[in-house]
Amino acid sequence: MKALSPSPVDNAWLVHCCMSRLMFSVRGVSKHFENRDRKPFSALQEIDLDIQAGEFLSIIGPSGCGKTTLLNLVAGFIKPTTGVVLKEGVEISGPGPDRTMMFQDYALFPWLTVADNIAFGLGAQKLRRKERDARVNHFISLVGLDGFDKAYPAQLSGGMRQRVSIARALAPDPDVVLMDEPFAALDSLTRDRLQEELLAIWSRTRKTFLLITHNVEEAVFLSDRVIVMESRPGRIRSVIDVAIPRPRFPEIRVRDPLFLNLKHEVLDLLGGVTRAAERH
Amino acid sequence: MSVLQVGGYSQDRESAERNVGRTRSAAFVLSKARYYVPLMMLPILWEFAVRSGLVNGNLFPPPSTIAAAIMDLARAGTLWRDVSASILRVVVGFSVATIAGVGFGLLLGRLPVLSRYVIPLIEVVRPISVIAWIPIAILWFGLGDRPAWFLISLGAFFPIFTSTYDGARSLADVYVRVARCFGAPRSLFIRQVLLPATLPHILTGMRIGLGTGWTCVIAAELVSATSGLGYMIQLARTTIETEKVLAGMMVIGLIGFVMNSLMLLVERKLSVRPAAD
Ligand SMILES: Nc1ncnc2c1ncn2[C@@H]1O[C@H](COP(=O)(O)OP(=O)(O)OP(=O)(O)O)[C@@H](O)[C@H]1O
Ligand SMILES: [Mg+2]
Repeated sequence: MKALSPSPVDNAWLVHCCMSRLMFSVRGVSKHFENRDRKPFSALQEIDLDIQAGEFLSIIGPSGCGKTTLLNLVAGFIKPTTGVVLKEGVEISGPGPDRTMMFQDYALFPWLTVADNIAFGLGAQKLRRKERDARVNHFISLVGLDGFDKAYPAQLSGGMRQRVSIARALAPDPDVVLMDEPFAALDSLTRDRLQEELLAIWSRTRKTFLLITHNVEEAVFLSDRVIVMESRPGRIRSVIDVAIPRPRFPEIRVRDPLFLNLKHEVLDLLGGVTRAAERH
Repeated sequence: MSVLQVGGYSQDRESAERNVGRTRSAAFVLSKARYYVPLMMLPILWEFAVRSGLVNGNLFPPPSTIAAAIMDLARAGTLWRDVSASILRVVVGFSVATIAGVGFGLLLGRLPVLSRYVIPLIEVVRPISVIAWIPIAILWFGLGDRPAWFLISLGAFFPIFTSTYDGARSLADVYVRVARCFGAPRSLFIRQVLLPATLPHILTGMRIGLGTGWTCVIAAELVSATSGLGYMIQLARTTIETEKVLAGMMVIGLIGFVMNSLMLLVERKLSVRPAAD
């Protein structure tokens, strides 16, 4: 009703709400593990980070800087030692299908067909068989795997398995998709292809995508912001805004000066971070 | 193709391809057959040893006598009665053992909190041989089917439980995470994750359990039954019909062999998945 006759106040509220709705807020989060000799060891230290709804955010950093740990905190698999992780203002108490994950190495069930693997993502929802099959077919098409619904993961190439993993993650209609180095094991052609498709899926669904990667080009090409982390202790080194307009076409990887500049900026930061880690 | 090369003659391609399947399966059967040569040699040598007077035929009735005894038993109908009595008991006991072994194996395999209390208990009961349970089984259940059911279930339970438990315990952590991440309800987790992941372990346990169950039924029938193959050989002993005793033993061995082969077949059929990368 109010939308039909918006007052200036309502308008401002709407703009605030839709343009920058806060999805996650990570507040003063540290995570300690016990290492082998039972000494506490700080994997993440004092992380503060806000993630907007609908944002495509990448996290990049040297190995062991706590990227996976941060993702696991957001997924709800582990709890922070100090600080809080809020999703839409509510503290995360555990994993749930509102935050689905594309796992490192796909983590598909080898004994389930492509269709059943994707349907597994819908497990938490009480759907009629017809409805569920329709959803599964929709996502099989979305990731371009038509005709492979009855295939088993072992019969698919790495790229196709990753497509199944994408479809499974999207099927429950989550608010957030978490991705831990999804394309690390793929050849560069397949990787480029999948990045473009992922970008298309993201712009269509406008979900919040949180991506961990080691690949600077991937991070810059896909993201609204790139978080560069440093290790020992795991901390945010800097946050790069990627102001490249969308839609982004594959050509910008080689042509767009802004893209190349940002790529080098991140590479420099990462180089500094990595050298610092090596000096330790 | 290799068959043709070995043969060293040329054939037109079409008929060659038609023949490959048959040639290969014949060669396959032949190559397997040689593994049964020692098995075939034993009765021949035995027969020869008895006929030549090297071995006492009253204590070691030759295969021909044993075969005749089996034929006699079959013709009289008692063989079928005893075989079916034994098999029926195994079916009952083995079913109970499978349900209990798989159930407890999955449960304890996924609940370390609970298994820490229960495993020591199981590990103390397990070394008590089924033979040692026979007296108490008779005291509890009398004679007949019930003590046999009890003893078979007990004997078959342990291999099935142990194998299932190990399988459930070693379920890859990442599968559990996937299930948690997608909020899979417990029933879905059991049906689509835990059971399929553990199935190869369960089937191996069942195969070993069935073998154990088959040895248990004979042991049970020796003392606590009035039918079955175990009872039959025990009875033949009291009447000093050595060839009947051995006939019963042969039948026991053959049935056990067939059971194991069937289970292996099931195992292979159900555990086969498209080859992993
Ligand atoms: N469960 C755990 N117990 C103990 N230490 C852990 C645990 N999980 C992670 N760590 C440690 O915390 C640090 C950060 O690990 P994490 O997996 O988050 O790194 P990462 O940035 O994802 O590295 P990579 O790029 O190699 O995947 C590492 O030093 C790791 O050894
Ligand atoms: Mg990692």
